[in-house]
Amino acid sequence: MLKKGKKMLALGLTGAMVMGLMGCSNSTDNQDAAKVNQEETEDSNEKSDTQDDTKKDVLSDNQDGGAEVENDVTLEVEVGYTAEALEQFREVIDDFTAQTGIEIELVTPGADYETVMKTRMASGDMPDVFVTHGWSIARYKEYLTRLNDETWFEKIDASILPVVSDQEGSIYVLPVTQGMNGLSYNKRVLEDASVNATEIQSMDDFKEACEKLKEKGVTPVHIGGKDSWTTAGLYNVMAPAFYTAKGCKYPSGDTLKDGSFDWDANGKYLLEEIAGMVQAGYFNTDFITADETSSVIALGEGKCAFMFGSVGYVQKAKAVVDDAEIGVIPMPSTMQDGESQYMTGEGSCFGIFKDTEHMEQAKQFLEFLALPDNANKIMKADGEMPALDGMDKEGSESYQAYQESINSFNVCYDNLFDREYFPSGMWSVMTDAVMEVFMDPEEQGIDRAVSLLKENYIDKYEAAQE
Amino acid sequence: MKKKEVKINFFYIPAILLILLFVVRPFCETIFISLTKWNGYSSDKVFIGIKNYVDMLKDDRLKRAFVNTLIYGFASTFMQNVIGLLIAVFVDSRFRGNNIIRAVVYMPIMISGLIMGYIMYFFLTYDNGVLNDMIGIFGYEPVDWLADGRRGILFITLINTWQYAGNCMIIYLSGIQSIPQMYEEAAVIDGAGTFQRFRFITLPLLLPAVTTAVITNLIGGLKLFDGIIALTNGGPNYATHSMMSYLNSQYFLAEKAGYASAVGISTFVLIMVISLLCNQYFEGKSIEE
Repeated sequence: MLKKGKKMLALGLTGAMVMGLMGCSNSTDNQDAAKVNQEETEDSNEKSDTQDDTKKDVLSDNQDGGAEVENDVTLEVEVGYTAEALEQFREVIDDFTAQTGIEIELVTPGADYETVMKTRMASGDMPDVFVTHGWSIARYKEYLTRLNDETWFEKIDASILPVVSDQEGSIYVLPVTQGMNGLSYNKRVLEDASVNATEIQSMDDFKEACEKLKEKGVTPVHIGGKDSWTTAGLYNVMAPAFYTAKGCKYPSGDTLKDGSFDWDANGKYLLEEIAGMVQAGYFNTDFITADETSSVIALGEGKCAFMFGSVGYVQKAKAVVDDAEIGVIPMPSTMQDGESQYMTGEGSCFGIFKDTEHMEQAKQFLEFLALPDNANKIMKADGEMPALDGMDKEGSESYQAYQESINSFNVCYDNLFDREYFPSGMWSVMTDAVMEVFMDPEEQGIDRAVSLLKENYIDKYEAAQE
Repeated sequence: MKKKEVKINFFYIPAILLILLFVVRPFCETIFISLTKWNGYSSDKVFIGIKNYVDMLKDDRLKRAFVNTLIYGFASTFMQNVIGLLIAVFVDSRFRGNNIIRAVVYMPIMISGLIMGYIMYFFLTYDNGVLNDMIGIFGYEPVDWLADGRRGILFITLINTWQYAGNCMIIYLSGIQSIPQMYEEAAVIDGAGTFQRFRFITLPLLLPAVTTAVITNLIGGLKLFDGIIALTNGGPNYATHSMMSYLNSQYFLAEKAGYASAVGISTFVLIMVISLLCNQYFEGKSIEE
C-alpha cells in the first residue's frame, strides 16, 4: 500500500513538473470564446464606430479637466520595454494617472513579451492596452479595436500608415514611433578605412567596403547569433535587395505573396550571399554565440563597422559610448542601377483589446500617449523614429541619421520583408535557415537552409489560406 | 480475514481538486492539442490524428534533443551524487569551518537556473569572457567555447552538476546523521577500517537517501530548461537543446503548438518511465531495518 502510494506520488510529481511548461498555455473554453469573439468583432467595431462621436466629446472634456469618464478603474497595459526605456515609459503613465486618476497596471515580460502575448491570446485573457511589435494586422487584428475615428488618426505619418492599415484601410493601433531597418555604421571606423558610406550603393560596393575594413583589422559586420532575432533580422534586411526592392536582381514579390515562389530555383541566392560573407570573414569571430548587446557595444566602441537591422541601434550605440558617431544607410541593391531600400515597420504601437471593459479609459490613454510631449518621451525610450505629426523629429537621433542618409541614395521603401511577403510564423524559420548557413557555409548547408524555408513557407502559407 | 475499512480523509480533497484542475485537466488538453495542427494562439485547430507523433520520428533535431536530455539527466545525476556524497561525508566530520563549506556548496541552489545560465554565459563568452581572460594570462588565444555543440553540452552538464550538487549533499548529510551510532561502534570493535565502515555500513543504510537524491536530480536533469535558454539558447543550430527547451522553441518560436504538445507528452512518458524504473531498482536494493 505504502509502495503504491509512493509510486502515485512520484507519478503526480513528475506530471506536475512536466506540465508546468505545458499546462497553462490554453483553454478549450477560452478558444471557443475567442472564436465567438472573432465572429463578434465586426459587430463590436460597428457599435464602437457609432459611439465614437460621443466618446470624443467625453475624452476632450476629460482632457480639459472634466470628469465624465469614470476614472476609478485600473487599466492593464502590457509593453515589451526593459531597463531605462521602461523607466521612461513609467514616467509617462505616472503623468497619465496624475492627470486622470486612472490607475495603470503595467505588465512587462521583457524578452518574453511575444511568448506571453501568444499565451494570453490562446487563453483569451488579453490586457486592455498592449504593444503590437510589428503584428497589429497579421496577428493581433482580430483582438483589437478599430481606431480610425480617433482624434490622432489624422496625425499619423504617411510612411507608417500603410504598414498599420488592413486592406480596407482600417487601423488598430496608435503608432507613436516607427521602426526603420537598414544598416547602422560607425562613422569613425569607416573614415579610418577610407570608406565613404554614401558610395555604398550596391552589394558589390558593400563587399568592397568590407574588404577595406578587414585590411584595417576591423570586423566589418557584427552579429549576435545567440539571440535568434539577429540572424532572422539579417535575412529580413537583406532579402528585399534580392527579391523585392525596385531594380533587384531576382524580382519575386508577387510570387512570394501568392505562394508560387520557386524556392528550388531562387531560394538560394540570398543564402549564397550570406555564405559568401561568412567565408570571406566579414562577420565577428563569435557570430554564432555573441548576443545582440555585444553587437551594440562593438558598434559603439568602434570594434565593428556595420550592424544590420533597426536604425534604433543609433541611439543604443550612443548609450554605450556617448560620443560615438553612428550613421545609417539603406540596404544596398543587388544591381548597380537598382534602388537601395529602407524597410518600415511598427515601432511603439499601442492597441486596445476589443473586449476591454474600459474602452473609454483605454482610448483616453491612447489619446494621452499621442500628445506630442508624451510621444516624444516614448520615442526617446525606444530610440525609433517619430510616427506622428508634431513630434520632435530633431530630438530623434535615429531620425537625424536617417535624414542625413536619404539625399545620397536612390531609396525605395517597403514594409518589413517577412510581414509583407511571408506567412506568419516564419521568423524562427529564417533564424534556423541563416544558422544552417553560418554553421556550414557550403552547398550542403545552403541546400538544407533552402529546404527549411521552402517546407515551412508552403506549410504556413497553406495554413493561412485555410 | 477482516475487511479493510475504507476511510476518506477529507483533508485530501483540496489537494485532489487542485491536482485535477492544474495537472489532470491541462494534461488532457495537452493530449488533445498534440493531435491537432495549431499555431498556439489562433482560434483554429485542425485535428490531424497522430501525425505529430509520426513527425517526431523523422525529426533529427528532436533526436539530438532526446540524446542531450539523457546526457543532462544521467551524467548530471551521477556527478551530483558522487560529489554530493563525498562532500557530505567530509562535512559530517567535526572540523572548524565545516558549516561554511556546507553553505558554500549549497549556495548555488539559491540562484535561479536562468540567472546561473547568464552568469556562466558571461564567464564563457569569446569577447571579454572570464575564462578567455584567464587563459590569455598564459598566452593562449581566446576560444569561442560555446560555438561547438559538444562543448556546449559539456558546460551545461557541468554547470547543472555544480548548481545542484549541494542538494545531494544535504540529503546525504541528513541520511548519514540518521544512521545509529551503534552500528559504527560495533564495526570499530570488530576491527573495521574507515573505508570498510563506509562501504558496508554507511552506504547500505544510505540507500533511502540515495533513492531520493537520484530520483529528484534525475527528474531535474531530464527536464532541464532555464540554464540552456540562458547559456546557449539551444544553439548553435539546435545542438544543445533538451526536450524541454526544444518544446519551448517549437511552441512559441516555430508556432507549432500541436507538435510541441506531442513532444511534451512524450517527455512526460519518458520521465515517468525512467523515474519508475529507478524507483523500482532502488526499492529492490533497500534494506529492511
